[in-house]
Amino acid sequence: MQRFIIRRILWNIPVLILISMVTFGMMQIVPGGPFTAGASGRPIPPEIRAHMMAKYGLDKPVWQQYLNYMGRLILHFDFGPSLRRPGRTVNQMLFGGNFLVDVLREHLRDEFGTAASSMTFAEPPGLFDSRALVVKTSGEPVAYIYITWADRFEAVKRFLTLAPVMVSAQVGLVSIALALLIGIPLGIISALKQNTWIDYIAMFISMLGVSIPNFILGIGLILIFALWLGWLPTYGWGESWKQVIMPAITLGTGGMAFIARLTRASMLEVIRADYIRTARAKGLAERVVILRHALKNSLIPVTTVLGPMMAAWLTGSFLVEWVFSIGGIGKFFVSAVTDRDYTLIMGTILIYSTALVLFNLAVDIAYGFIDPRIRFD
Amino acid sequence: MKTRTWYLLAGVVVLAALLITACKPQVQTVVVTVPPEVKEVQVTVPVPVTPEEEEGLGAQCTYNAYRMGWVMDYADANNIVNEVFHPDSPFQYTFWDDQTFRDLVDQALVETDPDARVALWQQAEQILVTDYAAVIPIFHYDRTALVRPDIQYEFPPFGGPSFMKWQLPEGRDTLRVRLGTEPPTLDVNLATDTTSHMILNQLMESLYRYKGDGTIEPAGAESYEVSEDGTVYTIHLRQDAKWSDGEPVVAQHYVDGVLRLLNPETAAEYAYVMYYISGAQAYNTGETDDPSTVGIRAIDDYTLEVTLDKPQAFFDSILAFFTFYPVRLDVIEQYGDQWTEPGNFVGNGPYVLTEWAHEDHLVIEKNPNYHDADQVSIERVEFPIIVEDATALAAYERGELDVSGYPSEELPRILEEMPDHFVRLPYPGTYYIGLNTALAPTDNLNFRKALASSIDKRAILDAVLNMPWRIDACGVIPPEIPGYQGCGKVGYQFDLDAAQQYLQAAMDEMGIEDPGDISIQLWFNRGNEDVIEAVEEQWETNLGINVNVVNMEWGAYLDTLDSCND
Amino acid sequence: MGLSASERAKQQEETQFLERGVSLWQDAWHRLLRNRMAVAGLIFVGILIFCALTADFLPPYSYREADYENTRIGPRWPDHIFGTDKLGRDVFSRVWWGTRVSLTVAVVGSLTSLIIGVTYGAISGYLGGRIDNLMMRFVDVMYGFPTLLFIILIMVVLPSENAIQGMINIFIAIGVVGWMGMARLIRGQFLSLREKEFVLAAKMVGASHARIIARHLLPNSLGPAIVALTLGIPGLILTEATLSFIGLGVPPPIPSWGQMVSEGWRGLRATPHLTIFPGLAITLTMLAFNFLGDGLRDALDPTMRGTALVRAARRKRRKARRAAARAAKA
Repeated sequence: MQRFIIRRILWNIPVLILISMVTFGMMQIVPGGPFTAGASGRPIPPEIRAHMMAKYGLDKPVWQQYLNYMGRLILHFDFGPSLRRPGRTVNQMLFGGNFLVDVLREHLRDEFGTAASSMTFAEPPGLFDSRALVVKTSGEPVAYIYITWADRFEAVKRFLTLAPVMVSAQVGLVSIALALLIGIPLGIISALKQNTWIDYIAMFISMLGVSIPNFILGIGLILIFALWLGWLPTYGWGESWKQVIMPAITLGTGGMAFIARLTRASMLEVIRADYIRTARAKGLAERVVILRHALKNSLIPVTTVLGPMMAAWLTGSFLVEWVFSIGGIGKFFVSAVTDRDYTLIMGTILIYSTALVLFNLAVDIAYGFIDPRIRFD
Repeated sequence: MKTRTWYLLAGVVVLAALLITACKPQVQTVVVTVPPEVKEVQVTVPVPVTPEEEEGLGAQCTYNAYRMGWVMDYADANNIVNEVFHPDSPFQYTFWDDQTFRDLVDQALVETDPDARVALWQQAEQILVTDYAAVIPIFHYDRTALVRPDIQYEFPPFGGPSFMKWQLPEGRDTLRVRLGTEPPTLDVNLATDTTSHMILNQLMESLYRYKGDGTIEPAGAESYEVSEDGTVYTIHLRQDAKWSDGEPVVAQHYVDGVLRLLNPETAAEYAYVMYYISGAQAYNTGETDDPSTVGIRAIDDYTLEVTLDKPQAFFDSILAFFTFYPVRLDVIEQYGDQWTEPGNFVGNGPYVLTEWAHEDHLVIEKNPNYHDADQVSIERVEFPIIVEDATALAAYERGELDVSGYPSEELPRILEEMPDHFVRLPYPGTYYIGLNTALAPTDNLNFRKALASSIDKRAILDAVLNMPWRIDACGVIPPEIPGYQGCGKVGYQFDLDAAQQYLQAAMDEMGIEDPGDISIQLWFNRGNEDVIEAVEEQWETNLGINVNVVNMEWGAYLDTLDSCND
Repeated sequence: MGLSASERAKQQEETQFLERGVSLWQDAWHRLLRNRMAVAGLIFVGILIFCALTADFLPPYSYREADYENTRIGPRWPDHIFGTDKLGRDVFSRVWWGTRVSLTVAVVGSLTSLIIGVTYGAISGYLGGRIDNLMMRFVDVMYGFPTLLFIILIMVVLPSENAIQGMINIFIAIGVVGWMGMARLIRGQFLSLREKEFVLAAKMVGASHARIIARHLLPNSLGPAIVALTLGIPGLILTEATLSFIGLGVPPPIPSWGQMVSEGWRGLRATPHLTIFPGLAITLTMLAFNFLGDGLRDALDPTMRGTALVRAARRKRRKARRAAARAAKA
């Protein structure tokens, strides 16, 4: 088991490197670069474009750019500066930057008042440092600030609630929960009542769910619940539970329908299997047969699709974040490409593919628990 | 073990393949970066291209017409007639050239008498639009927004609104303005887009400022004098101006701002706007690395001197431009890239940045150190970032916003249900179709005239765009700019008979019998489907020719047009 | 109890089945026809094909005929039953014409992925071993790209000089991202089938690789592939709509449902007819393909093979016995 997991993880390293190489190469082939047009949309004069290319090292040969990029990424976990957002790094755009600094800054403000604004840290504090050196902007040391567990928890808490990756993950998680909690029971019911009107209605609802484009569903919900009924806020995330409902429904409906259909199909197959007949023949109650024997096995296909689905949803949905103005990373999947923000493209692709690899691994491990007959080799 | 060798091999092969494909465009860059003294030779000697490249380029540059637009930076026709449509301009792709036009532009640039100058621009515009028909203007831009009727607002035609001049109704102190996108940057020298400038306009103050009627008023300056020959501007700064951290604003800060903008290491997009200052271009393009050669200096703490290469009658407009923002080099040095974050940012404008949750919202609050702080009535402005117009409209109708955009599809309903919220504002600029004068059949003048006379611009504005208040364009100079001539005086109006005559003449010249044998390609970037579909439909219906539309996404569009014009 | 016409037909089939062997496909076809939802789906797909074929001459207007006097009018009997759009073009005719585009995008897109996927999966599954492992790793890499991003990159790279080329680009983009799932499916089928007795037997008698693949492996793994294809088509129609939303869809003025919806949805309150009618077309088509796909899956499911007929035959025998007993009693 452990050997299997370690081997799978090792396998994924060349896969990820290959993905990074292909992406890097593909970006160069795409016509138009980060500095073809400025933020205003105007073409940038050639001489000024040359300055910009030089500033970000894009005038070097491609292989050198790639090696530089991967070097920084692997050694320092540094995704590089965003090319279209001067002053912002891709790390900040994806992970929200160093939250511990914010926490410690608040302590400084409590301690020194307005003078704190002219103080900074000798080097950015890490989560496991015991203390950080506070210096004046002139470089003159002021004090040591000791990092307590409360500070660390606070920093982690802020990361989990505020970081763009985490915002996307929250949206995805709620939607997946919704999809599973409604999809699986719907699938089971319609399998057990196959070819009755209950089955037809359940499947009709679930198919309707798949067939409405997300953006129409999103704006429809806004019109109904925000504007006409006035129950829910129109946009945003993370301020109240009410903001969760519409994005989750918009994103979750499609998956819910998909899971319902999948559950129904595999349930139908399972309840015809011999061991279920045996269980019934033994005189077990129908409820026990379904819940204890059939359900577990019929969930295997659901688990399989859950891997890629979680990877796609937890890394953010472009449409949902767009329509509901949620500050996650899903928007970048499109905007980075249209802006030709090379470093941001690399960042989003690597996050997505890492997530995919991890969730597929998790799914493989989960198989072992659901069905002990599946062996790892 | 052996499997791993396979992987290694495959990896190396892919890497090699990638490098070969990816390095190809690199060859061109090498040509560009030859030492300056060889540059001229490089231009005259045709660069040898591989057959493959030639074929690709030939296949790419087959546009007869392309869509483009220009929004004016300042109130002088120079900004569009010369900077955009000059045969040497990087912003046009028509391959047109005319000696008289060049001469007229050169004269206009040094002419100091405003009326004579305007007349010269008008002549130049006639040559471009009427005589050559190289450009077909479609309409002039404007800006529309939804603003709650109980708010007093003011939008100047250039730059963003100054919220310090706005008034909220009694009992409210927070204004909520929707932003359509995260501001790409708040670095005063790097920001170029309207969203960033909407914010920067509140946080910073240039020498002058645009008023609602388009004229300028003193802001960071008190007055200026121009030397006899029109090349030296002496600007007197106000002495009570302070930065938000309490430091006084001195002339050196303005000098620092301009020099930082021009410094090649800053890589500022708008550096070229300041090329009128003597020595600016040389410093920016790296010919010299000595900033003291640039014609700007602080005579004393409150006097600034700017020297130009030659007299520029419109230079007072540039004094109000954001390229004249002062900067605090000490702040930038202290915080590095992070100096634009709230708490770090030090500005000289009426507001200070207090919150910036990226991709979510910004908040600015009144700056107590501002010299005119008594005049600032709104205490706090919130800028939620809402990307989708439809969502923004819903939020506005729910009362969550005071100023917002709207999806144009909902316009009829807005005009009917809440006409008092709808605000139309001047936004000088022109939406046009450029014609490729080097490629058949648009190399034929009569054919270009036929194309220009067969577009029913009013129908496009009234029916398709649903914006009947917009002004249809025949010339390129917008109505808000001195020199506007209007339809009938310049360019071509919708006239089917004339179009048919031009077409007949063109076909006689080309030796073509049936207009159905003529095919042209119309390029545009995504997001302009409404107008371009209508233009295509009208050309096909009114002239009987075939029009192929090619649509590309903006980055690819500019890049392909650019590569065709190298 | 009197027998209805359909039941009589069923009985006939049953006798047929009992008397002589019925091929896999015939059997599946009969079972498909007995599924009411699937038949409805099949009929709807038939209508769609009819619409696509007649789009050039049957609709009342051409898809691009502009009328600047009558833009954005709501549904109106009898000239514009679905209303008109921003150029005054008839929405009904455009939806009709859009059938052609949307159906072609879906069918050609899925065929592209079928061809690539089946070839790739067949090679991988048939050869097995190290090559299989390597080929599947490549599929992993392809899976690692976010689909949308990959499509955008492809669409941006490919030139589109005219509308046809623009559409071909969409086929390519959709096909290129869609084949991996198909490849995995076919490979799995091949891996399990190639150890089966009938394949081993064919090998023993010296059949060539090509023959084994073409005669034995492919036909037996095509069933699941077809089901996956039918169920994948609705997804492609939605992908096309999403592409249009980003502005990368079918180039105008050619109408596709996705493009019409993504142009109209912002005006859901001012001009709902611009969204509702093409949206309805998308929804109904997706429902039809889904029902058809589900029906196909049930029909092609080998565990279900013949069950319906056998059960019916048993029931018939039972009935006959009972009738005989009744007759004897009488």
